Amino acid sequence: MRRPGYRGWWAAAGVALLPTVIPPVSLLFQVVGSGSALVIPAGRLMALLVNTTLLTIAVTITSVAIGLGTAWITTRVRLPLRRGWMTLAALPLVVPSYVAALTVIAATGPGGLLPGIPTPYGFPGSWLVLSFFTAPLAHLSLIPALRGIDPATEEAATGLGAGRWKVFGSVTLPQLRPTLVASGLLVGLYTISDFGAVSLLRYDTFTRAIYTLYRGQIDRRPSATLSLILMLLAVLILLVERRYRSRAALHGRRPRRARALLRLTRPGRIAAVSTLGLYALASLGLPLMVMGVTLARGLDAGQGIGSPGLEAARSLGVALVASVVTVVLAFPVAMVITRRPGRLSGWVESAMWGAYSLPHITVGVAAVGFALAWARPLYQTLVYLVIIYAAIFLPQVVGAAQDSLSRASPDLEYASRGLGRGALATLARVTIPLAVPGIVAGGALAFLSVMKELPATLLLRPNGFETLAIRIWSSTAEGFLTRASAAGLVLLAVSIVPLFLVMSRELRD
Amino acid sequence: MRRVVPGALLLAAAFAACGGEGGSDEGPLVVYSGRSEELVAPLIEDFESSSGAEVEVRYGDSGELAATLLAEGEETEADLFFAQDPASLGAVTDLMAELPEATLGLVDAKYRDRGGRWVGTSGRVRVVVHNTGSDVPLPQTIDDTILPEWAGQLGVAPTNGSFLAFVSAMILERGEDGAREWLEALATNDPVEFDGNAPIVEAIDNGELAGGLVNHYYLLRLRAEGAGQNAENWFIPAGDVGSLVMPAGVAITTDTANPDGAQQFVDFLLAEEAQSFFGTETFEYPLLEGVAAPEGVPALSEINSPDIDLSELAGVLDLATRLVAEAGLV
Repeated sequence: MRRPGYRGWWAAAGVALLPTVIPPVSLLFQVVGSGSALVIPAGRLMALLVNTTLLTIAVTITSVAIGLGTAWITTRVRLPLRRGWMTLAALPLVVPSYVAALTVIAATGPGGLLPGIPTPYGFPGSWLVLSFFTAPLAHLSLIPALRGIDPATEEAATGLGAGRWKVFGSVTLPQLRPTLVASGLLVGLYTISDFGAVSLLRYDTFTRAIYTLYRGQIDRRPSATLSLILMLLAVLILLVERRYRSRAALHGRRPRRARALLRLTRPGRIAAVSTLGLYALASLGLPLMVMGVTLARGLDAGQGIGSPGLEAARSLGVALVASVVTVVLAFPVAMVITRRPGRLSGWVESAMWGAYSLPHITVGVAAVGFALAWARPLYQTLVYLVIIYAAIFLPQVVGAAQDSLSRASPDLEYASRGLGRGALATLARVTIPLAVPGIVAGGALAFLSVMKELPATLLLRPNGFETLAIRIWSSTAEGFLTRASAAGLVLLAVSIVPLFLVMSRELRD
Repeated sequence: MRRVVPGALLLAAAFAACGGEGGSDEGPLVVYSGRSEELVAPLIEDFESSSGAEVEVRYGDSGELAATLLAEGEETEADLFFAQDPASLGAVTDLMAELPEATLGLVDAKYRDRGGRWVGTSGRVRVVVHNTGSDVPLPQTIDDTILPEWAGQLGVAPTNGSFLAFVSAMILERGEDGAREWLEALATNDPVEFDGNAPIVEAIDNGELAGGLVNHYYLLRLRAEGAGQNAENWFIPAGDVGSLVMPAGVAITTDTANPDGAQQFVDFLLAEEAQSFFGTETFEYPLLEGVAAPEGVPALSEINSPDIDLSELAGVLDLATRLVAEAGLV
């Protein structure tokens, strides 16, 4: 069954997956090798399980719904500054979740900007914060999918007399289903690994318990054991997903036409713009306001802002490199999954989640252990840091690239080969150009995720390599609020430029 | 896409240059610092310019860095460990060299390792920060903070290193059962849990809470940021762990390639210049005799702090974490 042309892809996919299996395997060895230990009573373990599951389900549903809304409006509707909105709706992903949570805490309750609203501690706050700030995972994954749907299918339905909602529900949505499920996984498995929001908003989840153990205990067995239980939960989610997924080749046999943007009536346009506006206001306006106020107050009191310029250069540099590396590693994985579905590619697909669903502190500790034992020269180098970033964020790119690939017929590749083009030329001229929208969207996801990554960066970076995310965390913890706010504002400012450039150029219609 | 990739590679080259790699023959002095860059970077710059030495710092959480040191073992590149608390220092004493008597003698025996493997550099005191408009009576002992009048009014950071050090000290003072009892009483009194100390002080300043168990310098820090006018530090007078003094401290690794440079750094931290930096810039208590305490807090000698051998703190830290979890505080 395997055609000779795919041997290279399988090998490349295998290499790409090596780093993602380092953390889980290293963790397994740690627990098996040194013995397991649990300091958490069984009752609390059950509570952790219930809390984590509830939050994951709730966040996944709302986050994908928000992302579907923003992606649909910004790809389908004729709007002023449409691509600006498209970029803006992706940006909340770069806000570290503990900054998002801090913003909510600072903005509500007595003395906040919105003093009438009590601070939503516990489930409601964690749910809101995570839904709003992970929605870009769905937004960016769905943009290429929405653009990739052949307009003929929707036009046919309209021609047969279906109304706009009917078309959306019975034609558009089913074609989006694989991408919706994939982005649901991205959101859900991110949610179980998140620490910042749940810890500041005091919602007790597995990841919060794991961090507490890492920080408070010199003995690392309990935290490793708990991480392993969390990994089983992730495996369970993946199994459920696999049972209910549909996998279809979404490509037709004809070339696709460009699609005309939808012209809405005036009330429709106002509704669309205010939806986007409200989302941007909550997820970007609020943090900007809180950080702005804190910065102004601190500058007034004579505080300095530190040196965010150098930190911004490091963050940008490492995030750009890591996102390119992740794209390069993700491409062969996406190729074998879409072009050669089967048992082996099923394993490939499961293995790629190995690092994504673990708390990043667990990934970092496991990666430190691995490097000290087997790869000493890589320890605390930028190369290793980038490899681990790629290992964590690989699924974000694979998901988006997979989507574009499944909409491009392999017939085009066969045709190119048949006309005498070599394998590499076909790759460069046919396959990659067809996958560009997905690659760009996935690369943007990885870029934003690396920009804000903290726990693994702290453990794995070279000495002195302080990034914006590290600065925000450390300044916040020590009460240097002016510096933290300045670094937070710089993080948003420097993320938006490359994001806008790449999105407006590569996601043209 | 074609223009993005070379652009990214160019940036890669550029940022590799910002990576703080030392290139000289002897190599820089490597400090693992659990004290944050915000607090100690100016001090390290002063040391570099006065000694001519080059210093490379790995900043991080004290506990995480202690665990990193344990994982690296003898292969560590670190010459020094500059930590936030005695528990982190105590966890790695096996990897640390004995300091000379002249160095140890500069600070009170209370604030250094019994075996001479770390020495305190500045003092941090546990306090009750309280809202000045609140009518909840100020606690005279740490046991007053678990009275009904504090129900729902007391902020704590049960996962934070300082709180865990405080619980460890309580285990040393009262034994495991005594500490467990106190933690259980606290847990049933509806405390308000936070992730760190700074947000507790902010919540008290905003009037959300009557008070909280934190370290003394967070309020002084908040005032420097232009807020904090509605809150005050209260030093519990009973001489119990409620007013524990936890020194930040420094240690030299046994495997340092540069013992002289490392010793020079320790001496620098205990000299007058660095000591008064702690008093005025980080709002901590200098530990060298004769250097003034920060403005707005009583002198160290006026604080009735408990007599606890801090060298034993690390030994009960894991137990403290377990008790906190079992009491249902996290």
